[in-house]
Amino acid sequence: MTDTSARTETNLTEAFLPEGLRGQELEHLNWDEYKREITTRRPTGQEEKEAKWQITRGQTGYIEEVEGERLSTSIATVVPIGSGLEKQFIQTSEEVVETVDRAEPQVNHILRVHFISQILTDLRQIQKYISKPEAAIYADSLLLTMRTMDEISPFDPFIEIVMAFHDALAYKNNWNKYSPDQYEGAYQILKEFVQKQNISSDTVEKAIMRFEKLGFETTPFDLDMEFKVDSEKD
Amino acid sequence: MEKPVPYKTIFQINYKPELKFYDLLIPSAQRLDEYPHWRTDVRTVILRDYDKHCSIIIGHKSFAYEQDSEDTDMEIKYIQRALEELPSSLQIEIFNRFGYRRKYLINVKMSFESLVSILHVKLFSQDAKLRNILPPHVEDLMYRLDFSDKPYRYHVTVGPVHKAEMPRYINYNLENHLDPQVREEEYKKIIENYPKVAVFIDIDFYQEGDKLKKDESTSFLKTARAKINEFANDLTEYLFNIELEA
Repeated sequence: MTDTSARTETNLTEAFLPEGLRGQELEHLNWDEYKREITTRRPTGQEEKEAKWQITRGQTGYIEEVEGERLSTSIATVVPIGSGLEKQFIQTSEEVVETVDRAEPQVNHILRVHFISQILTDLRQIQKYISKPEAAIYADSLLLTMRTMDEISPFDPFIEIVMAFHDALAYKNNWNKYSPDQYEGAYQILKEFVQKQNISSDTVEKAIMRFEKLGFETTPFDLDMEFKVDSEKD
Repeated sequence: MEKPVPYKTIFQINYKPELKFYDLLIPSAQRLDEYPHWRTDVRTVILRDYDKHCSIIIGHKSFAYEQDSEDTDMEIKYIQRALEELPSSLQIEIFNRFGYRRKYLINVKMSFESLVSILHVKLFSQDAKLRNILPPHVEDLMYRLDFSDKPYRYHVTVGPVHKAEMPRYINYNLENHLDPQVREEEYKKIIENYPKVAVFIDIDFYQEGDKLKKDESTSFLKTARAKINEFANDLTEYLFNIELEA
């Protein structure tokens, strides 16, 4: 069996940072950009509860501490888009996560298809019964399946997409406000992205942006994440 | 996607024991001359083929064909022969049970832990209340159910297995299916060839009744094969599906 105690013992301070990114190399990075990126990617209140993590900029200017359950996701999302460093970060973070309890991609794919099949079925039913009392039954089932998926496959990057959609629907019962056409669009997005073998942070971002374009508010509430910036250098 | 491979098949017919059986036992066994090896005691004759890894045991209250081989064509042929010869030579008109059982392994290219995750999600309830009651990490599991689909019934067992556990579940018939001269080496090779991690599926399909007739055994066999094949293939498809339905 996998030794899950490795999760709390792994030294994340240095472990996930590739050589080229240690020390002064991160000096040029825009920490506000990090913050925005994180805010976009990890928008759920549930996430905040499950994976408390903290990013600080130390004297040498690199990420000093990352704690939490969702190592790969958390680490990957601190990379600014277009910096060219994404792959290195993601790749390195995966190596770290390998030592904790991480499911194989094939397993993620199988479970993903299993849950998404249920989700798509519920989406069709919501479309059919929109503005009628029956829609609530399917919305409840839909949200429950999404949360179950999140709990069972926490390391699957596809969860980011699912939970973004979840938040758009769950917050203040917003599921009741969307139109059948919007649900049709959501159906097509999930159907398209679930078949992708490799879900990168780019893929996740594209999918979430498409939800946003359809009018789904994937970040319907503010976050209370703590970002500490070492002021010594600033 | 991996397919379920039949590692063992057993076909058994049960009947009421009668005294005349003892006179009919040896002549009946002699009719099945395709088996090169045999052994007998007062109550049974065992016919064996070490090369084909199959045997038939003719007893006072049942006869059973068993094979430790994937060769389903051979199985069909040998069972058919037994059904043609034995009921008439043993003078049995009425039976009380037909049973057809297959043990499959689905070779999977993933860790045991990952396989447990998939089987857990796909075969057991994920109700939040239940998950809150149970401890968080499922290390191993077994899915065991009995079904009825009148007039047939099933005993079904499904579970993840390590290579080391496979001999216990497959239960290879060493005595009847391997030549004593090379038994140990052969069995070692068989065990070595088991997959590292697999799904074990054991389906025992049967029909019981006070007055089952010979004709029914043929239709039972046809149904049993079709149902078990369908069950094993559909279950594999369900467990490892990566395609969304249209």
